[in-house]
Amino acid sequence: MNGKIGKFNVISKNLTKVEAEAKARGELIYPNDVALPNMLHLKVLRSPYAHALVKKIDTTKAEQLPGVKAVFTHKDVPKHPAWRSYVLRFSASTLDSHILEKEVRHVGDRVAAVVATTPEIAEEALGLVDVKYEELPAVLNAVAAYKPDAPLVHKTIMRGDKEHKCEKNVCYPIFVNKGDVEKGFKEADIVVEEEFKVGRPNNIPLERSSCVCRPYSGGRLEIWTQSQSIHGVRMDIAYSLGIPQHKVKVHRMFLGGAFGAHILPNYIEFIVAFAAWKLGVPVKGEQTREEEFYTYGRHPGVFKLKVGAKKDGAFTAMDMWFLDDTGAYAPWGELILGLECGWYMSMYRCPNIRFDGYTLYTNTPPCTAMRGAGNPQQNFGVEQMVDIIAEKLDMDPIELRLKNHIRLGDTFYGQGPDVLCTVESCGTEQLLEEGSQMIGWKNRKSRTPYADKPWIKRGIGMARGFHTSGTASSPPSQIIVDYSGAMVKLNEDGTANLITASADLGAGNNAAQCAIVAEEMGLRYEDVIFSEGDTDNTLYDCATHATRGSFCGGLACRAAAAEAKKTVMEWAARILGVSAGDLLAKDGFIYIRTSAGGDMLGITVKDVVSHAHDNNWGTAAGVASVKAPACPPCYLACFVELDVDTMTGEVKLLNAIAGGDVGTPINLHAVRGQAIGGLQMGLGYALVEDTIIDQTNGRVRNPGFTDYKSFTALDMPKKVQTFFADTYEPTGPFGAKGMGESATNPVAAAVANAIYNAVGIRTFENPITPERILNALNKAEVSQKVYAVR
Amino acid sequence: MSNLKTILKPKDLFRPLEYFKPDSVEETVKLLDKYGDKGQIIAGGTDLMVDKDPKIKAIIDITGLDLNYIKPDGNGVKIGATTTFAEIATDRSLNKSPYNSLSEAARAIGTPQIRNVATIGGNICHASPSADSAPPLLALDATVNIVGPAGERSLDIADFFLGVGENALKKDEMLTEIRLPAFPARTGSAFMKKGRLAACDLAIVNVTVRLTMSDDSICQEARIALGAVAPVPLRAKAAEAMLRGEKLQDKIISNAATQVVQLIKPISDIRSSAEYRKILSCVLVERALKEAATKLS
Repeated sequence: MNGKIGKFNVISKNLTKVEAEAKARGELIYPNDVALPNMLHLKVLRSPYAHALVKKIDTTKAEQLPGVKAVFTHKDVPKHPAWRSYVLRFSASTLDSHILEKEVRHVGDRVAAVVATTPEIAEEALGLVDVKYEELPAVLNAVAAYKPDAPLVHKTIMRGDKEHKCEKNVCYPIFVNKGDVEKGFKEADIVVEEEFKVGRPNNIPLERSSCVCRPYSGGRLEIWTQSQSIHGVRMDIAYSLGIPQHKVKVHRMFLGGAFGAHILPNYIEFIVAFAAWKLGVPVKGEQTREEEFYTYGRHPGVFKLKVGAKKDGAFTAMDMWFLDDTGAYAPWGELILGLECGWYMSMYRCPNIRFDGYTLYTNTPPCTAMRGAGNPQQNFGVEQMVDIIAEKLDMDPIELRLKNHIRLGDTFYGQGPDVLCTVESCGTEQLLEEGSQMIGWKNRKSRTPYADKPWIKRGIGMARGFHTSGTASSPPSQIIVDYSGAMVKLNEDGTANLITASADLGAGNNAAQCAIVAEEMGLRYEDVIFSEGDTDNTLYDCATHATRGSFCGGLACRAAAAEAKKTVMEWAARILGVSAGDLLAKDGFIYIRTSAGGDMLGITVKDVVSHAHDNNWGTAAGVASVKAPACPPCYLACFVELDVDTMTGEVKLLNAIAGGDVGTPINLHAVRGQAIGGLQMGLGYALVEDTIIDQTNGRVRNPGFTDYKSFTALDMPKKVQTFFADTYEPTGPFGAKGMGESATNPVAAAVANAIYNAVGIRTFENPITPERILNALNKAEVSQKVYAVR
Repeated sequence: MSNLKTILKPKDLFRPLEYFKPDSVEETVKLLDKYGDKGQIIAGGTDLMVDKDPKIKAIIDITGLDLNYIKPDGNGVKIGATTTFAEIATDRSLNKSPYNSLSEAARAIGTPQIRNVATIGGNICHASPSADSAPPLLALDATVNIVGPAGERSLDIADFFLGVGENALKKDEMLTEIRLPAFPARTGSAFMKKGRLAACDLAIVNVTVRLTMSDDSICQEARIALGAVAPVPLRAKAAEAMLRGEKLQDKIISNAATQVVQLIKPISDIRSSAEYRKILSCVLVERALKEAATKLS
């Protein structure tokens, strides 16, 4: 569906990110670069058991090691539970942890914190803390946790101020019932039911977690840390320490990647802030890569999906039962489960849809949102199911999708059942049409591409998906907080500063925001300077998550820019003796629209501001705090061509196409980068990435890159193409929507569908490893060969 | 061996207190004798700085000993122990048949950054069953030169690997050189490695074959070497015997590859099941033999 395609001066071009040069030169200051006088170093003592009580803890020997300044345990931290989920209203938040724990609930859980003059001394002191553990029975996966007699990870948790009892290790359930699925299945001509299992990749951002906290006069705490929301960190840490929010100041910093790992503060920030607050000196805590693997990861799960369809392809009923594993703590509560539900309900039109899901606690390291937040999981099932149904109905899988997909005018759930809007732009048809041409969809029969290697089979597969742009609901949400703020001011030399808390994880949304400001104000891109601030001097921005940086953040930036521009144009009108309505600005020049129809150069922005300065007219500035009017879906279609070696089970990717619907792309470099980066992560989810939890003791067996594998450049398909639909999102800044997470969501299903096309098997589980492929192919042939001789 | 359990064992910290950079092999040997178990040679450090063995108290840096060389002559090629894999990967003489399997193995190790500093001596002394340089050295009948207080001795590469992480060096000995013999004209080799990724991964199975053919295409000599399928890298001698004296038709190759499975003892670990290693061994040996045979025909 084509909307208005505007002609822009700044946006929709290849823009260099504002921080690119600093990053390339190694000049950017990251939290771990911060060094302060008298700064101490903190290390965390972690539980070797999946579930245990800290019966006794003796810190004397550790405290006596020269250089050790303090050792903290559960006895020292605040008694009230910590709050980690500022994205939700407090009343809807789950509080199930303390800063240090007496009952430890996963291997790696936080037992004590040592603070010393050097990291080496702190590390050595860890070995001197004497802990007597009473081991407790543990549950190490969702299925084991959900049994009626399973040992409980948490007996009760807090839901805001209220206590909540957990039965069968369910943190919270979600049940949504639309229509009557039983009736729908009766009306169906075919009914298909499958069970899927999705694994546990890690966000693996390049940068490791690090936090520096400096206490200073007035009872204030100053914090540098990785964060996708400095205002959120401030809110959570202040609450958890029991101090007023305004006492905490958090610095905005660029992140070395996150993919969701830093939406909510992880534990290191609380522990460091607590230690610094207690000791009155700066403290730094840094995590090793191994600790990162014990800190976050994508929710794994098991789900059943049943779909009924008529002969003509119309879906009559969809029924999903979901066990979502949140690990030992659920700072998001059941939100990821709710998202899984909302995405599933937003995939295809169906009069009868049911979702019956449970967020399960397990004695494994806590999980978090990871690029897609529930969307990659449900998409892996639904998009394979669509292909299965298409085959049964002898229909082209793309035709089946085109018949049923949620599109213009339909309801879209942007962040679970409580956040919704009406779809106002949708590029799905164009993406499917063009993508199928590019991949050669018409000829996609399974092939044997090499005559001398008949064991190699080639296939083509596809899947479609989407993500939301932000979490702002049209009818207001009852649980989620989503608004952004920005300030724009003109400098005396005619350039402008953009001041916003909006975090940039590497996607380039700050660059996009500067471009939006430049476009709005008629300045050049390079004349808008991105200014980092902190929680004292920026407006509240809920977070950069849910693919909202360009859309929600961009709306606030545009509004602030518009206000500043208004002043500049009024001044220009005054100087030129014309009406402001006759003026337009472009590239730093202000033109007068003539009655003849041309544009006459009037004055430069620089001269306007200079004149204003000399005459004491003031600073032209704008402030805006904006809740977006909607959460528009950004669609993505992924096509993959691959070879399967039927003797080794190996998959070799040949060609991948990602077609994105981003509305108006703000930065062409960036959307292409997001498409390819999201592809890499989706391919990893499909084929190789998994955090392997030892089912006997709850340890992570691969907490490092020796055995946690992620695609290298040599694993990527040789040919990767991206293209974008011609859409325009009316609610977005200059028609823009997001990209970051849609880029990953349908990739794994596309790979699974391509493998099926090549060799006729599905594993119904990811990652789809060579061994799983061989098992599915039931390679009796090779096994016989192996054992038959003699 | 790996440090990946540090959060569970905070007492086991890597804290070496001394660092030496000797000027001569004699000085090195003296230091090794002095520190015994607590002394550790470092060259590239790409295994040492991952394992971080807590018992190491003295680091002995051998990068100043001029053991970084590749010297082809009439009797084959001599490779110094601290020659990096980057050099081996690009060296002209090692890219010629039949030494190409060694340079191919070098290119399959780690990443370019690792290859720039990791050494062939370190790779074989670390004695991981999956060391990528081991199958080529076995297939090429390499010998190693060892220096100790009593002098020099030479050892067949096959006798150098004693067990998982165990080599034949005594506490006060160091490896100085690896020697590859010369081969008759119609000799070729092929290397294959399968990991979870196309780069930057340990081998689930690695394989090298070497064939010497007569002028009328009879196999005169064969080597089939495999890694990651037993406590040490090994030769599948019974399978080699099936090729000697034969014309290498597909059926002969296929039977030899199948036989290999009887000669290995793979384990199941985080990278692979034992069953899959058996399947891969059979498949990779067959493919490597076909590749080598095709090049020689």
